Amino acid sequence: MASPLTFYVQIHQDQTSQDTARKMVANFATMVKELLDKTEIVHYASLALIPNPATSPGGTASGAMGLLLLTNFDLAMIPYLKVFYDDPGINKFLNDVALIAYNPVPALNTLSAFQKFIVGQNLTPTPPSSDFSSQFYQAYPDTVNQIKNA
Amino acid sequence: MDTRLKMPDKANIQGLILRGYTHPYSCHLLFSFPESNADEISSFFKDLYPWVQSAVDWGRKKPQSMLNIGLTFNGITKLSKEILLPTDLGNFPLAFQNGPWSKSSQQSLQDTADPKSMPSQWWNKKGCKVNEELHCIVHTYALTESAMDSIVDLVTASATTNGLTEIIPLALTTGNGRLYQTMVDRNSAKIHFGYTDGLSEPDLKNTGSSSPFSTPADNSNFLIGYYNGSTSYPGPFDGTKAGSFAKDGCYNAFRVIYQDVACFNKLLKDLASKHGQDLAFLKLNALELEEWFAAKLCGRWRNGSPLILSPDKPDENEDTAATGEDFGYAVLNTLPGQPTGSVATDNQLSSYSCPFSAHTRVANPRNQNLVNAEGATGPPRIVRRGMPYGASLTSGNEDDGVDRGLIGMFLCGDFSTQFEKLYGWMNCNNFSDKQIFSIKHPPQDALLGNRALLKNNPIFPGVVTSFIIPVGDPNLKEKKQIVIPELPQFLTTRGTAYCLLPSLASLAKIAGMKAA
Repeated sequence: MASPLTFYVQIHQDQTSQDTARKMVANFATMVKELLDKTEIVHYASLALIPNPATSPGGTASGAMGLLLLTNFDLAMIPYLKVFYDDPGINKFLNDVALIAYNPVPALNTLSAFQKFIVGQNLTPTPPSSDFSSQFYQAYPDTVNQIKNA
Repeated sequence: MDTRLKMPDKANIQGLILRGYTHPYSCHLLFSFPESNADEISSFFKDLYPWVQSAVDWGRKKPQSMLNIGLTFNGITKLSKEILLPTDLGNFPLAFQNGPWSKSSQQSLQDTADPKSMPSQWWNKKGCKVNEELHCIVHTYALTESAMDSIVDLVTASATTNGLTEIIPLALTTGNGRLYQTMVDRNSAKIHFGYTDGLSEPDLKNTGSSSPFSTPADNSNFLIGYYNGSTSYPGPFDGTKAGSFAKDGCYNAFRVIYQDVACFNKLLKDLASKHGQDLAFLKLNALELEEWFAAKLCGRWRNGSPLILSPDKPDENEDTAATGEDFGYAVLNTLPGQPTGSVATDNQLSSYSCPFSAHTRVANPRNQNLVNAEGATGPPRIVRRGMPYGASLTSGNEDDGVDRGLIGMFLCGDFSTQFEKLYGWMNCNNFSDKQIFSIKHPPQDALLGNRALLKNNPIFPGVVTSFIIPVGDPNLKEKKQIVIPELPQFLTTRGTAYCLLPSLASLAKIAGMKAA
């Protein structure tokens, strides 16, 4: 697994943004399935809402603070982000994420901007590096293809 | 809307981009700009600008001497704020900004896997500091040695006057440490391993395409600013100051690679000796058998004729040997007994002529099946404008300790989706399916693969350094093959820089002049 992605984006608190985020999470697997099945380089992909923090211990809070995409794909990260940029569904999904992002995101109308947005929000260090080795565990290094053809 | 590819202005494009030069003398000078002095940088460019060769056809009068200029991202950050503001710089592609020594680029290049090729060892072991401080590369060309000396003197004198620091990339024992071109066998197209290089390049001179569709070899995938139909999206894009600055430019992965010619020659000799009996049916003598192995490793005979068109011996006709390029690796067969139009793609048959991991087949697999992750646009292409450096080896398979290799200039519109992707393919042949490459143990490019990759490499798990050559009659049931269990490391990276070759208008702007 070459390219782990821990993609975190803080989102706006208004109702429209919150509703959009909820719908994204609900439809995520359906939206990505066809491309990810076809390309056979993504081990898993999970989109989750990060809840807003409680303001006091034991207190409750509503709404989501952000979106967290956890995934891991084979091959080098930047050259192969084009696979996702070229897919209309995933491209639109990332553009929709940018629209509800709390911090302004430059228009994702170029591959370069798309790459920068994803790499810039990735909380996992790039392998190979000592940071990566100290922060990331994997039980196996095999690619999706190697596992499916074992 | 007019979707045709727009016609670039050749007068605004550096000549190196659209045509390969055949000048017999060349030197590539590396510089660091003075700290915080855009005026001195401007003055340096003003001195050099009259010698910059554009892509306009020079007709019968070949220039005696000329030059082209590349800027690294760190170099661009040193230019006057009137040219680009710090906020504009973020519009350049990520790989260009980060540089080839970055972790993300090294995922594909894998120099970090080999202690001798690591970025910290680049540029005559000066490494990391120079990687950051390399701002500009001046590529000089000349017809005579004296013309070469003159233009090198002109460039270095201006650099000294204007406070630039020359970076000496090699040990002082090799051409005073500078990167001078060498002629191998008096042939400007030959490299130290003896092959004719620079064949089958994308034809960027064909700038007037009226098709709205692009192929990976079209200039829209190399020149910045022509995006209709582009599959590699050269950026930055129009509408930004960085886009205007970069328009009509092209990126150059400048890569200096030591070639262990003695090791290569020894391998050929050993293989010919070891497999002479297995290959007796070829009826070749020992020297011819060495040539046969050299061709199988490369995918072309050393004179350039491709194995697919000349599987048994090189095409000795000089007119066709290196120019016959109309071929693919996959063969479409109509299935017997199936409805008309049913076809099966056969990639195997061609491997009896050209092995799957032969260098030219990996670097450009043409119509060979690619896995879905590689997209539907076909293999990415790059343009090669390189040349050898260092004296030729004259002692056969005994190393003489001389530094020699390739001054690689790999032109592309996007480092990550063209240059780095192909480098990844060369380090691990995983771009085609299991009918072609082992999935569990993918092989490497027979010439350029980095053998130092470990089997547990996190990017390319399971990679092996073996090389398989199918032999004999592919129609026989009993398939034969020669297996080389472990290819040696032929190459060491001496340095890499990612440069933008800006337009003449942008060079003039840096020089504080109006473009001619």
